[in-house]
Amino acid sequence: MTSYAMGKKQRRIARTAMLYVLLGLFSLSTLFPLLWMISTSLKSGDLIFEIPPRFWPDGFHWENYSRAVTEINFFVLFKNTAVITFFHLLSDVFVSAFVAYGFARFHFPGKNIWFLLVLSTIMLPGEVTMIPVFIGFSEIGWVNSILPLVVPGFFGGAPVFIFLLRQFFLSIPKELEESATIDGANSFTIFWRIFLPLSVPALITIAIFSFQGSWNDLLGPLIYLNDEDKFTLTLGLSMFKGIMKVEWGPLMAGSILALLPVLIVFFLAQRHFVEGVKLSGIKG
Amino acid sequence: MLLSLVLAFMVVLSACGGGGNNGNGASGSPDKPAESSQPAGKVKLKVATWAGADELREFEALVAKLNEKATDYELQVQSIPADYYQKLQTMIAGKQAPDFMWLSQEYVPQYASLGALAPLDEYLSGISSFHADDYFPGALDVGKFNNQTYALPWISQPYMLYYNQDMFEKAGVELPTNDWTWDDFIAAGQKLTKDGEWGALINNIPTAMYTWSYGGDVFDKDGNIVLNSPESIQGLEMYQKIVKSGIAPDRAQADSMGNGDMFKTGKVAMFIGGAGDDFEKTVKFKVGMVVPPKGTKQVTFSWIGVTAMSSTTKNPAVAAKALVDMTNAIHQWKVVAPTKSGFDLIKTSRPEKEYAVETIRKASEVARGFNNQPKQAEIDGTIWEHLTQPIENGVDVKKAVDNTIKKFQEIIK
Amino acid sequence: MRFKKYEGYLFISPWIIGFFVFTIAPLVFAFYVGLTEWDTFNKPKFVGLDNYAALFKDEDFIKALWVTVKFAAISVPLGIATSMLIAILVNTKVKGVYFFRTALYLPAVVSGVSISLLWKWILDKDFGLINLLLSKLGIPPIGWLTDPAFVMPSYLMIVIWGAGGGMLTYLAGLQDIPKHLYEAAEIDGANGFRKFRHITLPMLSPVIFYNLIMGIVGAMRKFGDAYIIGGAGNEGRFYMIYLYENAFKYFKMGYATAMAWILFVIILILTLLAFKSSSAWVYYESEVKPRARKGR
Repeated sequence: MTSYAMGKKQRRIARTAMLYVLLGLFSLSTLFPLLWMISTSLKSGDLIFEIPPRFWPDGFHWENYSRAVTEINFFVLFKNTAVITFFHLLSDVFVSAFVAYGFARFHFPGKNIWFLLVLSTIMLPGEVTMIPVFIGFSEIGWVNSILPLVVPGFFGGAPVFIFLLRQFFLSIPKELEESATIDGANSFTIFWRIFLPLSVPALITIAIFSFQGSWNDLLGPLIYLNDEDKFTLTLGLSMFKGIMKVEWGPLMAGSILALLPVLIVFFLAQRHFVEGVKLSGIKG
Repeated sequence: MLLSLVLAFMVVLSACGGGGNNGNGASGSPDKPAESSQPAGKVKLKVATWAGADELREFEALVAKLNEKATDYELQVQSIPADYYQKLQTMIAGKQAPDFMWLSQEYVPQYASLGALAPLDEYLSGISSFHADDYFPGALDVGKFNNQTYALPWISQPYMLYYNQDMFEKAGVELPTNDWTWDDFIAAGQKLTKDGEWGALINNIPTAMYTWSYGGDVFDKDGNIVLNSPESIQGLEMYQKIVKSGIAPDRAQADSMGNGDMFKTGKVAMFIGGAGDDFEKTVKFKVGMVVPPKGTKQVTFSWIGVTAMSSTTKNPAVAAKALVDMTNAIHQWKVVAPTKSGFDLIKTSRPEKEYAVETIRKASEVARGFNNQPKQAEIDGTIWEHLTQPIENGVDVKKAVDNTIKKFQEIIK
Repeated sequence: MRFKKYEGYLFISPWIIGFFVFTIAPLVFAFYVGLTEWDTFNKPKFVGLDNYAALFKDEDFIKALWVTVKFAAISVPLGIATSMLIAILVNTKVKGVYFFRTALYLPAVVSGVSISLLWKWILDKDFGLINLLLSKLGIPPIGWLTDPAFVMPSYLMIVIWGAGGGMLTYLAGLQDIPKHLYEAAEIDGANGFRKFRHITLPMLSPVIFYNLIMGIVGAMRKFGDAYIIGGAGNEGRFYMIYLYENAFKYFKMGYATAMAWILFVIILILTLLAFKSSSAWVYYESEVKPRARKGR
C-alpha cells in the first residue's frame, strides 16, 4: 500500500515539474515582446533593430517616458479612452447578456433566422460597410463625437459576445429556472438572479475582451474623432509613427504606459478563474 | 465578483484619469469646434495633416501665426495620426472633406481625376505672393494633372548618395563624386563588398529612376507608356546589372532591418536616400553625400509632399490665397524646400548639412517625381510585382517589361 | 399565453432595434455596391454581376483565396487545440499560476504594428532570432519569409505563439464543469484521458463550438500582422489584404464589396455546416432531458 502511495506522490511531483517546464518555456516566448518593448523604451537614438541584436539598453533613457507623456496630451487621451471603454464595458457585458438570454432560453417564431442574422453581421467584413456607416453617422451629425463609438453597443452591437454568452447560457440546466418559475419568479428575475450570477466566468471573459478591444481600438476613433482633444491613446501613440520617421523610444514608452491598465485589469480579473469553485449549481 | 471587476476598472479610471469623472461621458454630444470667439466673416478652413507629436505642434504654431495676420480666413489643423489616406477617403466620401489636405505626390492625379480636388490655376494667377518660377520645375510638376495645377509642393527631398567615408578610406577606395556613373558605382561597390559588409543599399530607389537615368520613363508626360523604349530598357538593364553585381544585400534582408539602419550601423558603405535624412547627427562615422550616379543623364528622384485643395471648399478664391500663404510659410519651416528662395533655409535649420548645401542644390535642380497616373496605386503595385521583383530575380528585362505593359493596359483601359 | 410565446422578443429587442437602425441600411447599400463600380467619391455606376464575373478570372483573387483557405484549414484546429491545452494547463492551483496566465495572455494584449515588425525581424533570414537559435543547433538558415514554402509555417508559428490569447473562453468554460462529475468518474476508476474525453470535452463543447465559428471568421478575415509581415510569392497576401487594397488603395469599392460578399457566403456555408454537425458533438446541458442526464 505504501509503495503505491509513494509512486503516486512521485508521479504528482514529476507531473508538476513538467507543467512548470512547459509553462515556463511558453511564457518565455510570450514575455519576449514585452521585454523587448521595455528595452526599446529605454534606448536612445532611433535604432530599433541592431546588428547584431542587442537586448540590453545602452543606458536608461527615461526621457522617452517623459516625452511620451508631454509630446502628446497623454492624460487627456487617457481620460478619453477610459470614458469610451467604460461605456463599451457596460453595454458589452449587460446588453449582450440580455440578448443572449433571449436567444438561449426562449422558443419563439423566427428565432433561428434572427440568430443567423446576428452571426451574419460578424461575417461581412466591416471594411466595405465602413463608408456607408460613416455617411449615416455624418448625416445625423454624430461625427467628431463618441456617440458612433458607444451608442451601437447598447443596441446589441457586439454580436460576438451575444454568441459567446448564448453558448454559456445553453449550458445551464433547465431545472434551475423551472423551480424558480414555480416560486413565481418572472423572466427578468430569473435572468438577473440566476443567469448572471451563474455566468460570472463568462461575463468576466467578455469584460476582459471588451476592455481590451475598446482600449486598443484604432480604426473606430480614427474615423470618427477629428479634434485632438477628443483623441484616444492609440491615436496619440500613432503620432510617434511618422510617415518619414518613427520615434521608437517614446512610442514604446507610451505603449507600455497604455498597456499597464489592460494588464492590471486582466491580472485582477483572471483571479476569479479558480479551479473547482463552481459558485452554485445542482448536485446530481 | 462582477462588481469587484467594475470596481477595479473604476479605480484604474479615477487613478489615472486625473480625477476623471464619468460624468464627462455626457460631453460626447456632437459638439461644435470651440471657435465661436472669432469675429464673423472669416472663412474657416480645415487642413488635414499627417504630422504627429512635435511636428504637429510646430505646424499648429505656424498656422496660428498665419491666422493672426490673415483678415479673411482662419485655418484649423486637423491631425490624422494613422491610416491617413483611409480616413481621408472616408471623409471625402461622407461629404466631410477637409478644405486642404497634405498628399504624397502619387495621389494627386488619382484624387484629381475623381473630382476631389479643385483646380488652382484660375486663382493662382491673381495671387501676387505665388511665384511659379521660384519652384524647382520637377517639384511643381507633380502637382499638375491634365495641364492644370491641383496642388502646391511644400517639401521636395531629392535622393542623395550618402557614403561612409571611414569604410571607403579603410578599403582604399576613392570617394564618390557628383559625376559618377552607375558603372563607377558598381566598381566601387565591389571593392567594398566583403563578408557581412556590402557596397550599397539601393532598395530605396524607385525602379523608374533607372529609366530616367538614360532618358526613358514608365509613362511620358502625356500618359503614354514608354517603358519599352530603348532608353528605358537600357536603364532597367543597368538595374539588373547592379543587382547581379552583388554589391547590395537582397531586398528582404534590407527591408527587415528597417530603412537605412544597415547604413547607420556600418554594414553598407553607400546609401541612396532623402537629403533630409539625419545620418550626420546619428552615426559615429564620417558621412559624405553626392548627387546619385547617372546613366546618360543626371537625374534623381525626389520625395515630394504637396497640399491640395478640396473641390468642395466653400470659398475657393479665399481658400487659394490661404493655400499660397500656408505653402510659403511651410517653405520657411520644412527642408528641403521645393523653391529656390526657400532652399537656403537648410543652412540655418540643419547646420549639420551645411557641408553639402551646394550638392543638394544641384540635386534639387535635376530632381523630379513620377509622371503619376490616375490609377497610380495599381500601377505601382504592378511595377513592384511584374517589373522590379522579376528583374531582381534575374528574369529577362524585355520579358518583364512586356508583362508589365500588358498589365498596364488592363489597368488603364 | 400569447405573450409568453413572444416573450423572447423582449430580450432580443435591443439587438433588433440596433439591427434596423444601424446595420440594415449599410448592408442593403453594400449589397447594391457589389453590383456597381464605385470609386467612393462619386455616384456608384451599376454594372450588374460584372464584378463577380471579373473576380473569378482574377489570378490575384484566386491566389489570395487559396492562401487564406489553406491558412484557415490548418490554423483553426491548431489554434483551438493549443488554446484549450493552455487553458487546461493554467486551470490548476500550482504556485505562480496567475503569473503564467498573464504571461501567456500577453500576445492578445501586446499586438499592433510594432509587434508585427518584431516578428518580421525575428523571422529574418540572416539576422533573425530563430535562425540564430537554429544555427546554435547546427541548422542552416531558413528563409522564413523569403522562401514561399516557409511563409505559411511562419504564420502558423505565430498562431501557436498567440494561442494563450484564446485561452480565456476555455478557462471560463472549465469553471462551469461541476467537480462532482470528476469525483464520480474517479470512483468509477476513470483515468486522466478518459476524464478528459468523457467529461471535459463534452462539457467544453459549447465553447469549442464558439471558437470554431469565431476561428473560421477570424482566419478567413486575417489582416493585421500579415499586412506588415507579408511574405514571398504572395504567400502572405491574405484575402482581406487584397480586399483592402482594392477598397482603399485602388478606389475599387464595388470590386472590394463583391469580394466581401463572396467571403460572406463562404463563411456562412462553413458556419451552417458547423451548426448542422453540432447536434452530433456539441452538448448543451439545457437541452438534455432529465432522464438522459441520469444515464451519463
